[in-house]
Amino acid sequence: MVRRILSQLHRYVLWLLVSTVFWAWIFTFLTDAPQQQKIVLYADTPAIDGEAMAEALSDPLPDGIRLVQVHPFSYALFDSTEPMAADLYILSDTEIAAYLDRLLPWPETDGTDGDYTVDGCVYGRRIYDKQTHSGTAGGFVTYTAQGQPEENYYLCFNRNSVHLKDADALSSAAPYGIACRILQMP
Amino acid sequence: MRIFGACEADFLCYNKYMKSRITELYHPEELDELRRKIRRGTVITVLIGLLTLAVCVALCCFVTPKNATTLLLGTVVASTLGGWAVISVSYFGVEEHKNAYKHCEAMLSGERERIDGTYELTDERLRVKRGVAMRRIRVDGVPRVGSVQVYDKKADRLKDVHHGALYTVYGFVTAYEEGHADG
Repeated sequence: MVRRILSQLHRYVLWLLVSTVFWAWIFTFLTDAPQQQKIVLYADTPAIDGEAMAEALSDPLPDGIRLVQVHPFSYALFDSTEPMAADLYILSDTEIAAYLDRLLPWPETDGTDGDYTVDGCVYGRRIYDKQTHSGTAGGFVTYTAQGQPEENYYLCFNRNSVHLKDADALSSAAPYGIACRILQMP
Repeated sequence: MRIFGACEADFLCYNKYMKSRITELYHPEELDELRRKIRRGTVITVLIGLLTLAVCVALCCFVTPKNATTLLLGTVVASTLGGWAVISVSYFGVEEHKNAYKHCEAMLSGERERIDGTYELTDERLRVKRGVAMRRIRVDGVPRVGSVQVYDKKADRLKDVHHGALYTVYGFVTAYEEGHADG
């Protein structure tokens, strides 16, 4: 009997794979929202509890927004276009320079010492300081990894975000509200 | 005394001095029984499939971004187990009976050959794809040694018989004839 079951093993394994991929796709489809109705944050940190952080940031949701998503960059392993359309980024010292042409400066009134500034414009608000080992949203984001050099991390806006087409109205846009919540997270 | 032989004279001798009894391994009623089993297996397969789908769809109805991971896990588990049950029932409950049905149908309608000699049921089992499992029968005294087999589920009937005549269709034993001296 066992031998006869094993003769069908390929079918059982194939069904397991098909079932997993199919339902994952269905659930993604069901829980996703159009780009205009969601705020997406991609983080280049060693680790992040995206679900918990998204839940914390969703309470309450800004007007017109149905969903907040938080992902590590590795989430977009098979779809590199997705991070390009994100609204917010958490970037490290080494990455922020490479992303600079995609970033939108923070409003002029914002900014403190230690932020990432180019030509007087604040492109990234520092959310983790490697000198003091302190940062915001520490309950959700892990900024250090064993065996890797410690870095500063910055919260940035994506210039190509559908919510940030009007740079002058940044402070009234939904991603700005979410960014402010992240800065205030303990 | 030589009991069985290939020539007609021997056969007459056998009729004169021996009692004979032909035991059929296949009966037309088996086809009806197999047809019923196939239908029952198909119905069970469809029911399991529909039930699995219903459970998965029901779980999908309650999904929110907050509980998506938990419900996805539940749905994948339900779908996988249901799918495995469908595969098992369709293979062991339908496919096997379909193969048996085709086999029985061929055995009942095929042209018979008679083989006389000493034979022995071996432990050698074999199965061809989309076919039934069979047991090899070693027959001595005929040129087609090793080419006779019996449907595995009927093999036990030939366990104690070692000498007599075998009736075969496409190399499968469909009946046997036992002969023994009458005093």
